Amino acid sequence: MNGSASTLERRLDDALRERAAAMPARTERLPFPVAAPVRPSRRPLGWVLAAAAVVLAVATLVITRPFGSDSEPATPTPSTAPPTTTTPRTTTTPPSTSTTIPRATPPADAGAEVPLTTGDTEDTRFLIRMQQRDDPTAAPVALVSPGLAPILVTGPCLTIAVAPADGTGYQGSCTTKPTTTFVASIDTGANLTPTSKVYGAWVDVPEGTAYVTYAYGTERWWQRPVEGITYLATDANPKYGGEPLVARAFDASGRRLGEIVQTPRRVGGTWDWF
Amino acid sequence: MSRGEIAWNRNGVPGLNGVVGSDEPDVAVIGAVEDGSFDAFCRRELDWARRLAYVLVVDADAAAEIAQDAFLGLQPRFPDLRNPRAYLRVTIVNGCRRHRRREARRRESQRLAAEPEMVSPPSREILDLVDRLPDRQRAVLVLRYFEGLSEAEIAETLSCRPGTVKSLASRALDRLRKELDA
Repeated sequence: MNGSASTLERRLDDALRERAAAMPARTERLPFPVAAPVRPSRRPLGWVLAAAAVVLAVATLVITRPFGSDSEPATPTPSTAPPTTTTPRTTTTPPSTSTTIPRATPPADAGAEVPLTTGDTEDTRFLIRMQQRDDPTAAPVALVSPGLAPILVTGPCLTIAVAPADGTGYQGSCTTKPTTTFVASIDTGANLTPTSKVYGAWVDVPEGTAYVTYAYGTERWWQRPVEGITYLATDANPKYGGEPLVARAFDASGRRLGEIVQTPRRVGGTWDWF
Repeated sequence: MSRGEIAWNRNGVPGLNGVVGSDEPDVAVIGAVEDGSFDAFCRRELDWARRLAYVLVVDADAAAEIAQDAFLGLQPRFPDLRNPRAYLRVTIVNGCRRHRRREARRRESQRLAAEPEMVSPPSREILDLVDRLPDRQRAVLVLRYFEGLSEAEIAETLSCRPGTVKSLASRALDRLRKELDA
């Protein structure tokens, strides 16, 4: 593929996604009744649908703290603060200690840990979801951030869609190589603002990963994946220009198992993560 | 972590924008959701279906109607389909093609202008060209670059051979390139 073809295809990809993001919000409910009787399924047992009952399990809640400036702790901003009238019930539990992944720790120069722990919530206001299409055995996973309306994205690859409160959405980069690429999306859609954030996840880190280190500019941090997922957020407008964000997966002995290098690209006069 | 549990990210994301710890919980949640019912499928796929239709017809009302018709057509078949999403996609693409043909005739007869679209000028330029492509070339580009489908999947959606998909994509891109370079 030559350079001009690649540029055209990239423009095409961007334009189509921008068009999708510009779709006016729809607020109507499902357009038809869904209580219609279901014929008995001929699928294997694992796919039998209840005739009368619907089993629904949804859990999402995110109260992600907005990101502040370099010199002060982050404080919630009006644009990202979720509108609330009630407080959803939320409980948290400490990380499970019964894990097969050793609790290894990276070297000190890896920065501070950004730990993941487990919890439970009824708040479904904030939801970014990813799902691998055409793989019924792959459960959808959800990443949640504040100020965003629920949205689910499924596709032939892993991607994240983020829907801000005004209902527009943005579908981020699409990849069929989840072990080597971030899937990510921007909370303000295709039209970036100075405070736009990009949310990314390295889904399905290499087996045996004990921790993942992140290096971006002068910033360093690390995280133990949960269910093979590691999550990050950063400015949608790359803070360090064309410098790459590097994530590395290590096993308990410190051996590197995999790496993702996400390098912003030059678009006109600015840098773009995608 | 079993289905229904979620994971929390505490204490912000140190190192990003200078945020280093805090007493305030800063959480990101990873959870798992499972529901195989038609109702849940509709809730999951409704937005995607509308957006796919919208990308093809650029009319939110028409996109919603096309998506609704697609779900209605899918409903009786849902329990027996291994890949209901693919079925939905085919229905939506066909519905969009029919809509565009009707709209083209209607706009031509009534001299109506197209809806304004809130996209950036660079995207506007290329989308105008995409919208002028023949139906199947446009569909191939949307399925390839918006949906991210493979040639085989596009062929299945459009009921044609993979070679035809390749040819349609090549012609579409050539046409765009020539128009952009002109």
